Amino acid sequence: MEDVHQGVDATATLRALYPRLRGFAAVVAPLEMEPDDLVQEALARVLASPSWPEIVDIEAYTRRTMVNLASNERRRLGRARAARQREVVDVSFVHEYPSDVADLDRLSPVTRALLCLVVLEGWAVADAAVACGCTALAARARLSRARRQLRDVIESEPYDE
Amino acid sequence: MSDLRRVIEARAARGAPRGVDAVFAAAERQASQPVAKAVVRRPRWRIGALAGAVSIALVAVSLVWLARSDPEAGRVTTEGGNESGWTATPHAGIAGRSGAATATDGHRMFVWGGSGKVKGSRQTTLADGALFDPVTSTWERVAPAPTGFAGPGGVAVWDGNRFLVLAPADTDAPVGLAAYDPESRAWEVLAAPPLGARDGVSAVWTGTQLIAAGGVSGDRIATPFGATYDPASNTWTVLPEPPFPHYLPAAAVWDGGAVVFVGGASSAGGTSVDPQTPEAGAVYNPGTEEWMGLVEGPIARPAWAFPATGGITVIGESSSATFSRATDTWSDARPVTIPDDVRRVVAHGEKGWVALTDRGGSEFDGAELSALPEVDLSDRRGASVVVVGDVLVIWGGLHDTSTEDTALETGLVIRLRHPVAPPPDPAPRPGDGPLSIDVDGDGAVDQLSVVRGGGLPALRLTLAGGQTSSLPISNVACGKAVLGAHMLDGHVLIFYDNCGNTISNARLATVSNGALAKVTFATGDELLDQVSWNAHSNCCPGASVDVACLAVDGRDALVRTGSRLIRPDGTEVTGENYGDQPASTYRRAWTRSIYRLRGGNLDLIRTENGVIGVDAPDPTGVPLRNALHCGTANDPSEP
Repeated sequence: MEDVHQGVDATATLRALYPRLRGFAAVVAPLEMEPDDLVQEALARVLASPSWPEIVDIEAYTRRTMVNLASNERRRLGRARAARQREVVDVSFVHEYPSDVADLDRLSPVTRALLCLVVLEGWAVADAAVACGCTALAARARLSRARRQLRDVIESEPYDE
Repeated sequence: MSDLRRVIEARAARGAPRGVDAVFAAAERQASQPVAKAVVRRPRWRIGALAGAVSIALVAVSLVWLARSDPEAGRVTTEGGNESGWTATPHAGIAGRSGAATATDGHRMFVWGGSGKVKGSRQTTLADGALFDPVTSTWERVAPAPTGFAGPGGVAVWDGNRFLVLAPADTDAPVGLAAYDPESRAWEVLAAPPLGARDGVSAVWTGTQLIAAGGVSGDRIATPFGATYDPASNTWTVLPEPPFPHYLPAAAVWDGGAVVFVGGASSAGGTSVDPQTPEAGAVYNPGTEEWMGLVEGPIARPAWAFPATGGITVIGESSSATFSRATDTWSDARPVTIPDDVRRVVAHGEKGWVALTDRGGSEFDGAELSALPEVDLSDRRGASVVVVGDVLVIWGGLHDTSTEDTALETGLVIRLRHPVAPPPDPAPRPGDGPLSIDVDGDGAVDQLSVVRGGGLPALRLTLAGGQTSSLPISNVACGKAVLGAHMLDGHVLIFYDNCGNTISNARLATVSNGALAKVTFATGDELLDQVSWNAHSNCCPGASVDVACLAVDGRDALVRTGSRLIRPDGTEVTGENYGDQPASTYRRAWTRSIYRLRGGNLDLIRTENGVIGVDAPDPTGVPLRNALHCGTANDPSEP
C-alpha cells in the first residue's frame, strides 16, 4: 500500500511539473520533434521502470531521461538525413528557421538542456549537471562553449551559479 | 531580459501543448504495454568482439556492394517529363510501415496505423500516424489513438471535417470505427460496425454517410456484405445483401448518388476454395436501399474505380472506360497500357489517375497518358499513396533487403503535370467556421450586431454580400462566459453558460428575413473547447450549477420559429417552456444538459427579424425577451 501511495505522490509530482517539463522538452528536443512527444516518451520510460516510485529525485531523473531520448532522436535524424541524401539527388533539406533558433539547434541536447535549466529556470550549475548526466566541471565547460558559439547572434550574459 | 534568455524562452514556448491529461494518459498507456524485446546485458569483452565482427562484415559488404552496383542506382532521375522530378519527404517522425490507412483532405496526406517492421524484429501493429503537407513539406504527428484501436489493414476516408478510420484493434479483432479531427487533434471512438473481423474492407463516404463493405474473413468472403454508418445518430445499418451471394468486389466508388461496386467475384459457398464467378459489379443506392446489377462493360478484370465527370472511371487489365449510372451505359473505352508490374492506381482530379509501377509509373489526365520520371519503387510494398492537389505522395512501404523485409521511413513526392482544382472549403465546424445560418429570401441584411465578452476571441459575421463585421464583446459579466454555436449534421446548436451571472445585450446576430449570415469564430481552439458537448461543465469553476440553456425564437409574436429541442437520444423536448415559442411569451429552453436544437435547414431563423442571442433588446426599441437566455441568479422562477 505504501508503494501505491508513493506512486500516486510521484505521479502528482510529475503532473505538477508538466508545464516546466514541456518547456524543457521544447528546448532539448530537435525541432523536428514535438515537445509533448518527448515528454510522453520520457514519462512512459519513467512509469515503465519497476522502481520508479522509489526514485529519490524524480524530476532530475525525468529530465535526464528526456535529454537521453533527445540525443537518441538527434542521432536518428542525422542518420535518416544522410540516408535520404544518398537516396535522392535533388533534395533540399534546408529548414527556414530564425538564425538564433537555428544556432541554438546546432548545440547538443545536453548543452541545450543545461542552458534551459541554468539560464531559464535558474538552477545551479551543479544541480543542472546532475539532471543532464554530466559533471559540474563538464557542465560549466559546455555552457561556456555554448555562449561562445552563440556570441555572434546572442549577446553574452553572466549566469548565476 | 537578456537575449539568450529570450531565445531560450521562445524555444521553450514552441508548439501547441496537448495538455497534461492527454500526455499523461498516452504515457501511461505506453508504459503499460509489454516491452517488445528484453535487453540482454553482455560482458564488455563480448560487446567489443561483436562490434569488431560487425564492423568487418559491414566493410566487406560495402566493398562488394560498391563493386557490383550501378553508381546511379537508387537515385531519382528527372528525365521523362516532369521538370521538378521526385523529391524526398522530410522524416515523418513515425516509424516506417506498410498497409497504413491513408486518405487526404485535399491539402494533406493522412497516414495512420499499419504494420511496421525493423530489421531483426517481428512485424508489429502500429497505432500512430502523421499528416503530411506537400506544400510546406512538413509533417504533423497524429494524436495518440484511443486505447484498443490499432491499424493493421485499416482504411480511412475524409468526411469533410474528420478522418474516419476503420480498423481492428488487432489482426483477428472486429473492425472498429474512430474519427480523427486534425484541427483539435482529437480522436473520437464511434459506434463499432457490425462487420466482425475482416480484411480488405472498402470504405466510401457519400457526403453524409459512410458505407463499409466487402473484404474477407479468414478464408471466407466476409458476411454480412457491408453496413452504412450514419454520423448523425452514430448508428450502423446492415446493407441488404447484394445480387450475388458472397460477393467480393474489386473496388468501390461513390458516383454522387450511389455506390458502384466494381468487378470482383462471388462464391456460392462463400469460401475462397470454392469456384468463384467473376462479376461485373453492382450498384447500391442508399436512398432507396436497393441493389442493381452493373451492366457488363468493355473492361477485362476491372480493378480500380474513381469518380469521373458524368459517372465513374473504371480501369482494368488493359483498358479503361466510363460508366454512367444515369444512362446505364459504358463509354469512352480506350486501351490503357498498364504494365504487369503495376502496383497501385490512384485518382487524380476528376478524370485522371496515376498508375504506379516498380519503375515510376504513368499519369493519365483524361486524354493522354504520359510517363512519370523514372524512380525505383520496387521496394515499397504496401506504401501509402495519395494525390494531394497536384502532388503525388508515396510514403513508407516494405523494403525487401533480400534476406528480410524492413519498413521504409522515407517518402517521395512529385508534382504531376496536370493541375487539378483545389477542393472546396470544408464543411462548417465549430471553432473555425463558417457556421452558416441560412434564411431563404432576398438576401437583404440589416440590424447586424455582435456583442461578445469575457475575453473570448472576436466573433466575425460574414454576410452574404461579402461584408464582414468583427465587433468587440461587451456587457458580459462572467469572465468565463461561453457563447458558442455548433453546426452538426445540418442542425445548429447554440448554447450559453453564464456561470450564474446576468447577461444582457449579448446578441449573436440579428438578421432580417432573407438574410444569409455566416458566423466565423476567429480563434478555433479556444471556442472549440467551449462548444463541445461536454466541456461546458468545466467552464465555470466554482459555479453552483451546471446549466446550459438554449433557445431560438422569433421577435414577432405571431411567427413561430419552428425550432425544436431534441435530446441527445433523439427524442423531442416538449412543453410550454420549450421549443417553438412566440417571443412575447418569453419562453425559454431551460435544461440541465445540452440539447440539440434541430433547426433543420432553414427553420432556425425563418422568422421576421429573428434574433439569436441573450436577452437581446429589440433593435427597434421594443423590449425583446426572447432568444437565448441562461442563468440561475437572475430569475428565481427558474427550476
